[in-house]
Amino acid sequence: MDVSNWPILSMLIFLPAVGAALIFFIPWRGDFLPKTLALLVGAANLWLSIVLFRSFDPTSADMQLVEKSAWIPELGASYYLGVDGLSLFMVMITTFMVPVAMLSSWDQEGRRQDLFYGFLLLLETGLIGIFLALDLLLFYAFWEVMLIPMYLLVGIWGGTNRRYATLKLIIYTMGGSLLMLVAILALYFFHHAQAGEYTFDITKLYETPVPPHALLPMGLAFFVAFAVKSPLFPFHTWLPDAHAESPMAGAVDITGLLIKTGAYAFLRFLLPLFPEFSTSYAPVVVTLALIANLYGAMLATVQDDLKRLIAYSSVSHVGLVILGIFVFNVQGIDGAVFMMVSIALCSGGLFMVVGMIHKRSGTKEISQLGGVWKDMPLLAGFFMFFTIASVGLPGLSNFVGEFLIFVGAFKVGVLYGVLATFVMVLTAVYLLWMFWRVMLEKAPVRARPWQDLSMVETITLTIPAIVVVVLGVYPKILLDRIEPSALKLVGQVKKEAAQMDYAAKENSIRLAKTERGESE
Amino acid sequence: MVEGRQVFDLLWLVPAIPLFGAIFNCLLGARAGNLIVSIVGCGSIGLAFALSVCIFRAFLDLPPEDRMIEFCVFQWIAAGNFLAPIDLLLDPLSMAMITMVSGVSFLIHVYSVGYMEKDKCFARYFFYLNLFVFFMLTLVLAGNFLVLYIGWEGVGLCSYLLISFWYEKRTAAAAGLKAFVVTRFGDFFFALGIMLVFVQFGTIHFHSVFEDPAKVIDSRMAMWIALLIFAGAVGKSAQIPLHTWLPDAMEAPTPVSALIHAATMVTAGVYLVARCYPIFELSPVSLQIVGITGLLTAFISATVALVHTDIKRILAYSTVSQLGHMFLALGVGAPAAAVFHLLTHAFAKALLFLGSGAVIHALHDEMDIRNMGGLRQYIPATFYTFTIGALAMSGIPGLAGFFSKDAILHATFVNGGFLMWALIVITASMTGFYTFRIIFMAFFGEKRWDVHIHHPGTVMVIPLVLLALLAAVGGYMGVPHVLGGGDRISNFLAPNFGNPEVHATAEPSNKGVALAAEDETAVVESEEAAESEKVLEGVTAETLAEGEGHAPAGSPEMLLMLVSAVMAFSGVGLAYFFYVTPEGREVPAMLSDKFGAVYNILTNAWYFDKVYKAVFIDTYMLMSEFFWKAVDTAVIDHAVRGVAGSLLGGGSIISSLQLGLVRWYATVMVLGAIIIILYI
Repeated sequence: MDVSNWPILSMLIFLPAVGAALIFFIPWRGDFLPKTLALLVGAANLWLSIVLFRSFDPTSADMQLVEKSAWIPELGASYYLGVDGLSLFMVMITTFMVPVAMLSSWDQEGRRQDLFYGFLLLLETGLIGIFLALDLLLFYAFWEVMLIPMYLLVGIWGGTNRRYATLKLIIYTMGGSLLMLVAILALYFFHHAQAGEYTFDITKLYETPVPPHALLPMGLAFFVAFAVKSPLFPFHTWLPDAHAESPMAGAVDITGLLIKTGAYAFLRFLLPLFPEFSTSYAPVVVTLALIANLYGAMLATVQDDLKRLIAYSSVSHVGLVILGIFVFNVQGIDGAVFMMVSIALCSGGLFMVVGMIHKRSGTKEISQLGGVWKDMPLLAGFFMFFTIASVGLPGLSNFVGEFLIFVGAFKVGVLYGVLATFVMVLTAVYLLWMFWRVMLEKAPVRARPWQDLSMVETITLTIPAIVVVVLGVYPKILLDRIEPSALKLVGQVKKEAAQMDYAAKENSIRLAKTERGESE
Repeated sequence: MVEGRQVFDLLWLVPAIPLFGAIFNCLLGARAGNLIVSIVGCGSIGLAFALSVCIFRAFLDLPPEDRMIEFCVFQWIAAGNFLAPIDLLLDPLSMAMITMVSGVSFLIHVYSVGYMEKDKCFARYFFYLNLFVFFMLTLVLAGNFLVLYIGWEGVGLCSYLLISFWYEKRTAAAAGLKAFVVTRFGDFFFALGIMLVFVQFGTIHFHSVFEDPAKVIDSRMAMWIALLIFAGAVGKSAQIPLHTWLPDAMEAPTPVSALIHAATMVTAGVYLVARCYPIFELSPVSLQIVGITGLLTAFISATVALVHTDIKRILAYSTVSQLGHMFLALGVGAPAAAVFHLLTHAFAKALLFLGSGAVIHALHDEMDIRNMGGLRQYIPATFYTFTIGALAMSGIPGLAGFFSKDAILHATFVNGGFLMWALIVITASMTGFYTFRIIFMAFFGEKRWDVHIHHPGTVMVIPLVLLALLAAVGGYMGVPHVLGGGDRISNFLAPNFGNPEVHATAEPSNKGVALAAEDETAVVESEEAAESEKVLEGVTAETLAEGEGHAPAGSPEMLLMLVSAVMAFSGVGLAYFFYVTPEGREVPAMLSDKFGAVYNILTNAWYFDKVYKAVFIDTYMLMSEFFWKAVDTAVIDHAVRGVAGSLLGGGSIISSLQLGLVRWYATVMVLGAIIIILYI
């Protein structure tokens, strides 16, 4: 099949939307058919993203497979899509985690499962749109499109406290979005004032120097919008609530995907649009990121609700990601992108296991659990696996991202490196202590033993587990493709630093080649 | 049969075969049944051992200057100039380590088949154990820091899993967590050390870093790197102040204690420092810290071992103490002696643990030596092998431990000064005492138990006998020149550490003098020591000149050897007096009454655990609670609600808006989306 002429990016975005529309507008009888349809659409999109991966040129730092056409010419907004090393794996992890999340809630009971699956597909559309859009207005549209299904997933299928959680989610994200919209418009008009042209094309806006007096408010507006979504300390308090109250697939998507949009937006928009802002306020951001890193880990230690615990652990991990972004070197950015992919898998895996425990026990309070291993050894194995993967055991994916970020931070400042690295102790404390309290010791007396994993559940957990191992053992699949774009980004932010990194890279390649040449 | 150099291309299989065993036992073990699990579990390690022996033979055929073989399996992590391929490095140090590790592991695997036969989780046990061997072999074969780190963290994980193996026991769960977190604290420093190496050298490749580090870093930077790496070693090898996890780790099944917590994993720290020795050598300060840490650990943990009554905990403290000896050796410039002691200790301590396992097995999980006694007649094979292990451990002349310990004592005397030497000789006598205290209380005297004895099966006895053989004769790889030996181990390791004799006298440290200055008499003694140092230098110079020649009898080295032998015997004799002779039997109780304060300190293991709990754990939990309740909930959440409330015109409106807001927002966005789509 010749795929080279397909508008593959558009297909990736709109295939799930079409699937969602089919689910919403055809009067299905029962849940099974729409659920199957949703899963098939998810799988088809995963296949599309593999096609995308194969047609991606790993040596290029430029936007690839670009699709551009006029959209609202009166406003200068265009339908402009493209993929590079930074967004490629964001797209892939999205297309990967959505079907996994669907499988994980396959035998979930409750009202209108068909709609639930439809909203998951709609969410996928929004997410992929965010990752591929190269036009600020288009980006903003997807940014908002994604939020609706998110609100509804939490608000309709959430837990007992879902109203409060949804409200908090709305207040935070709406606040952020409004700020961003204002800043986008400001940038739009600045560009017009300087270049005499109205456009939302970010490649053109990258070139627009922002007047010094506007730099701080505009940069801050973007920063806060993305920081809320990430979420970065101190904008994080919506996440534990949203996590705790969301249904399993929703939680998987929040951790896995939704919060990646914030960190991704830092890379795609904040850094290249406002390089001066980014570099001059980097110490502040790095401090916040370090606080989030350690503070999230500390708070995770004292949580009794499993989902909140994992939510705080996400806060901690996201702190690391943002640290990696704001050290402006290739190790940090490679590590950050890698880490985003890895958290989606590891925390997503943990969430699914917790959901499976919740389904059987009806509780996610740690104090109500204990001795689960005895009943469910298979689940215990997966739980252990995702726990140690999150702890950062070498050979599994989290380690690669984490260690690169540590190295990146250490290169910039020893103290940054020391504080960032210390989290490896705290992560071990809270995750293994959680594992102990949930899985080990003698179980309290139960009416009947819980059933171990079903076939569907086993498959659901096995798939991400395999990817975690593959990425941990052979991270080059990602790193090789991320690196050119990461280097380019570093160059956009810091000209001198990039030259150094380029030189170092060339040097090391040359060295490696001569060494190999000698040995052969 | 593979011939010549080709055999080296199979090096990657040495760790890979145990990995295949682990994967098999993980995925299929539960269904395959115990027999197949045992065959795969033991067979994979046996194959790895056979392969290492083949490689060893080929390795010995190489001329010493060629004994450094590197492989790159594949490129692992590459980001900018940070390159971490999967490198393997075979040199004398790693050669000695993989042979020991795979050999001892094989014996312990075989023993485990008998020890664990009744356990329901037989397959899980062998999965963990095989996985451990994989990581341990990766650790010692690593050709760069990050590959070593894979093994380093991996063995820590397996140690955690195996300590918590009987997960229904609360103490086992707690001990596993403690072991992981405490060693992880050390790993934190080690990780920083790796980063510092990378930042300084631009590479983490062993060969490039160690070739000539003096060209790149000065002694101050070398000190920082060395201390960070050493902190990692302190955690993994249970040195003070991070030693507290090892005694608790005795919750693991006993063969695990023998393998991981005596013979292999805990020696990884010693291996690491030995591996990074070129950096340590650049910084005398770091070597002094290594030496003093080792000495204090050796002494303090030996004192604790004197009073404990749990057979495994005595052995655990003994392990900590012996690891201290190894670090002392590293600190006083005798890395070859450290590695030598590492090997002989592995044999002897694995034997003692397996023997104690047989005792525990025989008495239905009884671990308190006060409830044993008279076992000599009931389990004679265990008794004899255990005694050989104890003799070797105590440093009785002729057995393995004697030669290696003597090498350490000698180097300490020469480079560390008299006080350090005196302290370590006292420790040696304590070693004799506590080891034989176990023998006299468990195997002699009247029986203080009342159960039907489990006799160890053949699969358990054979490893005991083989290890006893190794513990008895293992020392002959390092008989010193003064006794007419060739000190073959030092020569073998010379490509790693340079010529051992030059090392031992290269930098006479003044640390002994500094320590001794507190005390008038000690000053005199240390002057004597300095004099004897000169004599010794002369002797070694002669020895060097003579090559393999014999040193004159009655030299100071002989004298030192004699003193340490006498001290070892005195420890054993004291144990005999206290626990066997009728006159001495009242003495221990009397002593503990009379010196109640000292006795309390010792039984509480110098209060390390209690202090740590109060200082670190409690504080950390309090701080976390405070941040959660006071900062996160009270301040940040309130602020957000306040801001949102005022924006929407007062907090009360929020609640009334709740669902309305969602609907309004959703409607607006859907309309917006439709308009946008229409435009497309």
